[in-house]
Amino acid sequence: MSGEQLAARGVQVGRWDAPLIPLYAMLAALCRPLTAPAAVVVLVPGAALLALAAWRCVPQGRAVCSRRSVVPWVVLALLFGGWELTAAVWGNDNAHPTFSLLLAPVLETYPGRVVGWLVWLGVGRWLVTR
Amino acid sequence: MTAYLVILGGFAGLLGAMLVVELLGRAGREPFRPAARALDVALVSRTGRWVVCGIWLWIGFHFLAR
Repeated sequence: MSGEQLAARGVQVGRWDAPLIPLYAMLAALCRPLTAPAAVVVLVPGAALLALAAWRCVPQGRAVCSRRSVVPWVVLALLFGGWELTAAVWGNDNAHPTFSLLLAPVLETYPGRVVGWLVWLGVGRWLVTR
Repeated sequence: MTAYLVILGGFAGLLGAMLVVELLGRAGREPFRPAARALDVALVSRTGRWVVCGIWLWIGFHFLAR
């Protein structure tokens, strides 16, 4: 299968998932965190995306930016991870919250979880169709 | 200044810096690039796709399942 055919397949994927993602987000957000159903509804699209990532060939000839332009993002990602680790080591409690603890009040509500699911599934869809 | 404010300020500062880099990238200011274009460097290889998708899966598991 040529690169153009694969790219076209990516476009076809995008046609049916438009209603599927919000529907899945609304159903998945019904699962409370720290439960087995919550883990399952994360792992199902996760496994599907990993399978798609492994199966899809990378379109040839795509222009990518220089590695130099990646450096700011790598530095910021490492700093963010380091700050998260600092908060976790410092206490990982309400007085020393990690990023996940800061988001917990939002994600404990159904609308907040729906938004979280929409963002996560949207990023996943973008990764597959990139 | 409490530890809570220090930690919160750190996260806010880092998220703000990410926003600045994104805006500079979209404005075409060298050497900055938007996050999506920077990710292409990793996504151009199968191994990179696996790593990025694995991180995506971990983020979903960490925030939505745990």
